[in-house]
Amino acid sequence: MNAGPCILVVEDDKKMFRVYAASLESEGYTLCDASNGQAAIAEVRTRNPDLILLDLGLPDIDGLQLVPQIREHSTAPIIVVSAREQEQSKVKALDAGANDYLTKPFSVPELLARIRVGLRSRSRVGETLESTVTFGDFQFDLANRRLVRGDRQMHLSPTEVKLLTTLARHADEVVTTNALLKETWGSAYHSRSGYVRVYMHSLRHKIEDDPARPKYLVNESGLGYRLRTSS
Amino acid sequence: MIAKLTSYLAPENQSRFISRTGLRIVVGLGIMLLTLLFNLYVVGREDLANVTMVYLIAIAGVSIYLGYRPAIAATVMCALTFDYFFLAPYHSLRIATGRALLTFIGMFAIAVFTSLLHERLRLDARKARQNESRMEALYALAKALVDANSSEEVCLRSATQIEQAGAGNVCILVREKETFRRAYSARGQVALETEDLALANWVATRLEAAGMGTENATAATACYIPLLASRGCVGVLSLRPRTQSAEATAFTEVPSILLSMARQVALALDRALLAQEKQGALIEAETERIRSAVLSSVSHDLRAPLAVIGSASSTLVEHGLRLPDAARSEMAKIIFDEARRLNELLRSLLDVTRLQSGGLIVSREWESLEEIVGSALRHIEEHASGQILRAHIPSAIPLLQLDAVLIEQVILNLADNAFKHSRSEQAVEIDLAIHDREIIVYVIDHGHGVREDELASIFDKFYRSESTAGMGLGLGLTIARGIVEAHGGRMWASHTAGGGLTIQFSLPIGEAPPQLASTDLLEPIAAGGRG
Repeated sequence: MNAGPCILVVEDDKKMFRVYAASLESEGYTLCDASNGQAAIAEVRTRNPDLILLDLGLPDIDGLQLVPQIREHSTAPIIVVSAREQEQSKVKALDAGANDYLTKPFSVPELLARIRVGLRSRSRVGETLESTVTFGDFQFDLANRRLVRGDRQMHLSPTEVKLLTTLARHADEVVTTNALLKETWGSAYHSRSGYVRVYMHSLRHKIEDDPARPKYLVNESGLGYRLRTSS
Repeated sequence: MIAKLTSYLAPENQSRFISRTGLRIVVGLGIMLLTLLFNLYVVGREDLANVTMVYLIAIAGVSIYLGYRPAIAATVMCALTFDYFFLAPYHSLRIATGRALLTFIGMFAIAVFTSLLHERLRLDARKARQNESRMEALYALAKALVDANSSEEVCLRSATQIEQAGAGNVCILVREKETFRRAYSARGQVALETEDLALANWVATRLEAAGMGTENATAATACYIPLLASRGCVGVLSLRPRTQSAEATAFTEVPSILLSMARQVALALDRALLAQEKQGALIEAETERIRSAVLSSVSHDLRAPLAVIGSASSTLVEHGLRLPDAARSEMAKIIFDEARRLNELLRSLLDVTRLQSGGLIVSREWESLEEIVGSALRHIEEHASGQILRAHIPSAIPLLQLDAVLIEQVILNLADNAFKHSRSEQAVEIDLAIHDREIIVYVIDHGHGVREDELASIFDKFYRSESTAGMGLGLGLTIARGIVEAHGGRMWASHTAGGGLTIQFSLPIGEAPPQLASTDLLEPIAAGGRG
C-alpha cells in the first residue's frame, strides 16, 4: 500500500482521469479509478477509499443515485464534480449525502483545497465534538456553544448558535440551505429558506466586519453556506 | 333575367303611384269612365275631333302613370265607349260608315302605339337605372379595394361592399398554397365550415361556380364563385341569401353583377397575396442574412481562443523540453486563460439559447440580495485583476423570491460589462435602493459610456459597440435583461453623471417575506447560557 490517502475518481473520460492523476499523484495521493457506477460501487467496497471524486455525468447511472449507494458502504467524503448546467443535481447530491462540489472547469488549486478539507473532516469523524473551530480571531466552542472573539464572548441567540454549530461541524464544506433548515428547525421546515436567510443575516451582521463582503460566513448562491476557517 | 338580378341585387322601388297591377287597371278604367263622362257632357257628340283628342290625352296619361297593361285595358274601353256613344248609330257597337270605321281604327291604333312607346321608354329608363346602380356598386367596390393593403383587408372590404349592394351573407375563402386557410365575412375572420370547404375545393379545382343558382351542386344553400387571377384560383366567394329577409330569397341564376364583383375581388386579392409573399420572402432573406452574420462572427470569436490554444499547446508538445521554464509556464498559462475564455463564450451562447427557447428554469426561493451581491463580489474579486469594485448595500433589504444563481449571474454580467468599458483605475460601483414596491440595483461605471442612440440597443443580442469589438459575443446584457424580465423586473441603461454608463434593474418586492414568530431575535442570550 502506498502511504498517501486513497482517492477514488469516478469519471468516464479517460483523459480527464489523466489530468486528475497528474495533479493528485504529484501531491502524494494514491488514485484508483472507476469509469461507471457499478465499478465505483465495487471499488468503494474493495478499496475503501479515503475520499471519492464523483462526476455527476456518468454513462450508466445518474450520479445522483450513486451518492446514497456509496453511502451504504462508506462514510468517505464525496466531492461531486458537475458541469455548470447541473445546478439542481448538485444541490440534490449534497442533500443526498455528498460533502462538497466542484464545477467544471475547475483549477487545480481549487481541487486540492477541496480534497484537503474533505480529508480533514474525514479525520475528524469519530472525534468527540469538544473540539473548537477557529476562524479569524473567532473561536467557536462546539461543546459549550460559546463564540469568543479575542477574549470577548459574543452574544448569540439559540437559533444563531444552532446555525453556527451546523456550519462549524462541516467547517470549510458547503452546507445546503435544506441541511441547515433540517438541523436547526427540524425536517418539518423543509423549503422555508427564508428562515435561514433571516438568521444568517443577523449572524453575519454580528460576526462580519463588512457583512456585504463576508470573510467567514460565505454563501454560495443556490446552494447554501460555507464557514471559511482559512482564507 | 335582368328583372331577376335586380330584384335580387338591388330591390327596386317601382316609381309608380300604385304598385299592384289589378288596382292600376281598375284606376285606369275609372279614369276612362271620367273621360267618357267629360266627353259626353262637356265636349258633346258633335265635336268628334275634340272627343278623340281628350280620349288620347287620357290614354297617354294612363300609359305614362299606370303602365302598359292598364293602358291597353283603357284603350279597349276607350274604343268600345267611343264606338258606343260617339259613333252613329249611337248606343250600338255597330259602325255605320266607312269614315266612322277609319276614325275608330285610327284612334285605337294611336292609343296602342302611345302605350307601347311609353312602355318602351320605361324599360329603357329602368335599364339605365340598373346599369347605374350596378356601376355604382362596382365603383364603390373598386374604391374600397384600391388602398386595401393586406389580403385580410381586401376580404373584409369586399364582403362589406357586396353585402351593401344587397346580396346575402358574403364569405370569402382565401386560398394559399393550394389550400384554404382563412375565411372572412364582412364582420371579420370566421371559421372554415366543412360544408363550405368541400364546395370551395370543388370550385377551386374545376374553376367553375357551384351551388345555388348554378349548374353544379344546386342543392347547396349558397353559391360559390371562384376568384380567378393570373396564377389560378386565389379564393372562393360564397354568397348565402339571407333567409330572414323577404326580398332576398333563393335565386335561380347567379347575378351577373356578382360575377363582375368577383373578378374585381380576385384581382385585388391576388395583388395583396403577392405583396404578402414578397414581404415574407424579404423577411426570410433578412433573417437569413442576420443569422449568417451572427454565425460568422460567433464562429470567429470561438475560433480565436481555439487557435491560440492550438498553437500554444503545439509549442509545448514540439519544443517543450527545449523551452526555458518561464516560456513553458507562459504557454501553459495562455492555454489555461484561453480555455477559460472559450468556456465563458460557450456558456453565454448556451444561456442566450436557453433564454430564447423558453428553457430558462427560474427556481425561486426567499433570498437575500445582500448575500447574492456578496457572492458576486467575491467571485469578481477572485477573478478580476486589480479592478476596483465598490458596493453600497443598505442592511435592511427585504428578502425577495428569486433564483439566486440567475440573479448573481446578472450582477456578474453587468459588472463584467462595466469593467470592460472602463480603465482599471476607474471604480465600478454597485448600489441598491429600496423603492415603493421594488428594489433597484445600479451598476455604475465611469468609463467612456455609450452614445445616446446606443442606450437601448446595447441590450440587443450580439450587439457590440465599436470600442469593445472582439471582447465578447455581445450577449452578456441580453442574458442579464432576459433573466431580470423572467423575474418580473425591468432593466434599462442611462448615462452616469460625469461620463460612463449606469445599468439599473428592478426586482419587484412580492408578498411579505416570512416573519418569524420566534422571540429569540428579541432576546439574545449569552451563547453557552444553556450549558
